[in-house]
Amino acid sequence: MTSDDLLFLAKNVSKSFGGLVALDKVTVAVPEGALTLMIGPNGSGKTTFLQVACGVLKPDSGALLFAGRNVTGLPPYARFRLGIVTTFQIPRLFPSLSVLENVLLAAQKVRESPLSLLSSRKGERDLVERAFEVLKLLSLDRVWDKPARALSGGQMKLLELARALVSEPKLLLLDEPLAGVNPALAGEIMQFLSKVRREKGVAMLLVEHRLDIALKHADYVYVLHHGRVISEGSPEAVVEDPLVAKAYLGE
Amino acid sequence: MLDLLVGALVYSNLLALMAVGLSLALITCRVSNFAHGDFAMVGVYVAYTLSVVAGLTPYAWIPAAFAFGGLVSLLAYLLVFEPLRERTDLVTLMVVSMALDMVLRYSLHVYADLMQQWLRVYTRLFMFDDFLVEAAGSRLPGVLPASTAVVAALLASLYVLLYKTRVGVAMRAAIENPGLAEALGVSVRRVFALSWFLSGALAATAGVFLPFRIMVSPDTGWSMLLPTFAAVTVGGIGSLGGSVLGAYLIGFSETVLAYQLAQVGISTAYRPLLTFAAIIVTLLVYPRGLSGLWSGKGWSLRRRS
Ligand SMILES: Nc1ncnc2c1ncn2[C@@H]1O[C@H](COP(=O)(O)OP(=O)(O)OP(=O)(O)O)[C@@H](O)[C@H]1O
Ligand SMILES: [Mg+2]
Repeated sequence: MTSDDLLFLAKNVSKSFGGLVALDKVTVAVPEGALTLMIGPNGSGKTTFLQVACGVLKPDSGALLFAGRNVTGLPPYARFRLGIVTTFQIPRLFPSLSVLENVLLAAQKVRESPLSLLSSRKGERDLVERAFEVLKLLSLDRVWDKPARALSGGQMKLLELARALVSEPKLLLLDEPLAGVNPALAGEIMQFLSKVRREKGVAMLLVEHRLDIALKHADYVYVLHHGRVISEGSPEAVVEDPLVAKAYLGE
Repeated sequence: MLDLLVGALVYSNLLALMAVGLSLALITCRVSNFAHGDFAMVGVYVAYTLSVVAGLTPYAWIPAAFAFGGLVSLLAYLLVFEPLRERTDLVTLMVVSMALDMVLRYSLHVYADLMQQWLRVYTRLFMFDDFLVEAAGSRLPGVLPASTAVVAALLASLYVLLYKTRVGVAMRAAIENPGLAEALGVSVRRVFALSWFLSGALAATAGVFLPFRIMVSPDTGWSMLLPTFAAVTVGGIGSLGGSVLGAYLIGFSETVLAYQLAQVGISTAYRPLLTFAAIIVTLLVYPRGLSGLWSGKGWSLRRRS
């Protein structure tokens, strides 16, 4: 891997909560258009890492580079505008906003006057249309005007994904998008993510416990344990690494 | 009797603008803003100054009052409440707003003195000249149709802004969950700044109508606070639609009850008592207020969490 096709690099990132070291000099690289998988036992620091990557948490030390630019000091919304977009382990939605509004919110990057009416101007109409396309892909178009709080748990996950996709991300940080979703739908979501990556060239850093579904789509895998990267490599190599088996079984 | 009705309606119109503005400050930064009445007085003095200097009725200067009141409120947000946001408790914020009230109120007093020397007009206990309109065989003060039209136009515009534009979606999102909105690319600071601009602008607009009914001074804004807080509380704290309803409920009941008291020989000086009673009864009996009745549906913005 050369450094020009590197989209995102976290270098020696550390983060502690009080005395607890959640991340200990973690280095993770995501190349352009790659699907990078991050796995590890519960509490190994995966969610913490994603939150540092998207700016919700500040690292104690280390640096974050995105498209060759140091983004360590940037607040979440600035990183979002650069194209670093996150979905959370527990879907984070605006319960009283409608499904469509939840999605539209993430399309703020489009440079149109924010004051123009959603129904009137051409640019705004295109935006609504694009939002509908994504909703349709995820079978959420029929509930577009429902408040988000009325959705089922699975639909909430899909809505969060729809919101992430409509913002035209360059790097998607996905925290367990398959958790709590039935196996058939989980397979579909994974196919869908693969397709988005292929067709739009969106790079992804995926945190997932369901290796049976996720592993075969991954290009590269990082294994975290107690806040450290204990193994990395191709999916095949990592699965065979005795250290990894020990980390999972030892808990 | 007609006088009473006209009085109640104008007063309620004014309260509606005040209450919606106060609610905007409450739902964005959780400030029970005691400086809100001063924004109204800023509007009064802007319209008064311009109508003395440049002529024309004060009505013509409503846009200027709107803009200037909004600006003062925007500065209050940027310089005082934004730096404190998410960083301090409700009581501190309230005390800070009381301090801000002092600063603004005494600045207005200083301005009133300067204006008096400069323009040689009374700048305390003055009123505006109104025009009269013929309607249904009687003569009504112009402030009735004027304030009604302005309130209707402003509330309708606010509704469109919040529900039909992208910045409105962002504003509602930032109110509901500022942290998440921020993570999704919304600059919470900017949409809250817009909310605060509107908060002061609406109050200043309300202010312009005030001297058509009563004599005003820099301290008048302070006395408008109590009924405004009552309207917001009765309407349901945090709900803009509720604030509007609360304003008309408080406006009418206060006017009518004060009239009844006067009929049986009790001084109207006890008028604030009724308003206080409305706040206390609401908080004791049904703290969610009128908007609680339609439970979060419709025009109700509220911060969860
Ligand atoms: N805000 C916080 N304050 C204190 N400790 C925290 C906080 N967030 C996470 N931790 C701790 O940091 C460690 C790493 O947690 P993290 O959520 O990153 O793990 P994870 O790998 O995502 O686990 P899971 O697979 O269960 O989602 C855990 O021990 C957790 O208890
Ligand atoms: Mg996690």
